[in-house]
Amino acid sequence: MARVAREMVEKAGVNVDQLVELLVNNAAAELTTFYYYTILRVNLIGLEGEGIKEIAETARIEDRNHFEALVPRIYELGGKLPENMKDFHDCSACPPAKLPTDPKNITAMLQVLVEAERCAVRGYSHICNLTAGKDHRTYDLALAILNEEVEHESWFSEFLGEGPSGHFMRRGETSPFVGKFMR
Amino acid sequence: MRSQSTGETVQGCRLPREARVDRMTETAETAHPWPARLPTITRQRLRKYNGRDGTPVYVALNGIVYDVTDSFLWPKGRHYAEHEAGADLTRAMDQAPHGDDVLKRFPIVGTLGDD
Repeated sequence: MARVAREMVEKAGVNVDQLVELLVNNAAAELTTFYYYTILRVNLIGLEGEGIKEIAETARIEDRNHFEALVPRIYELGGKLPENMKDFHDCSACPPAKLPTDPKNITAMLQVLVEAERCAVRGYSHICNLTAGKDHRTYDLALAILNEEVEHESWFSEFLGEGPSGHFMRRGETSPFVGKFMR
Repeated sequence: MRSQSTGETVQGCRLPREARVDRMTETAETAHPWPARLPTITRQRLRKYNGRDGTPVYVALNGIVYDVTDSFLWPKGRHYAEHEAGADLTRAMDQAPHGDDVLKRFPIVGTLGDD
């Protein structure tokens, strides 16, 4: 634990235990999403499925990166991951992104994907609101993750025909925002 | 884009004024279509439905009591490290990163009454 780092956050008026719990819940959401997206991605078959396989895979890897980036901050603030992985799954901040009943229904697949991203956008927006101006390191991390989750949501939303995302999918390496926390 | 209902120039996606829920005037009767007769659940009674020891998980919002027992996001009556079930969350909704619509898909079990 980074004792003084935690003290500074407490002095700024943040309930650190509550913040740590939120970070653990969101880390659980990231790792479970990585797992469920693996199942979704392998089921994106046929001509329609192939079209979104790339963005599903990018989102999957980046969500795993989010988990990796969150873990050190949890421990810096004096928290820890649950010892039991089933408990970790069940404390996820977002519902499981389960395979739709008809995996060949690409629209249904996209709905699952976009709702998972929307839950993440809400979660990290909330953490940013809690930590802005108070816990600079967690804010920086949550903001970086939020940037990527917003892009994930916009990709899937665009494929659903809800409107243009305004940008293209990734050119180059994954996690352009979160990458700096993983070096 | 010009709104057909108000004539105002609007940008992006915006609902006509009559379609937007005015939270200041929203009441238990206008917020959500519900059966004519629902039990009144007092705040004191609501506190018992906190998800602990197997009790159902109820929350109140804008005078309506919802059963969120089946929600993944209310495990054992706790939501997102900050909220406990068995309570009126109307004020807390102002700070929430989501709107009232997240509760619309859950069963309504009563209206909130004073103790």
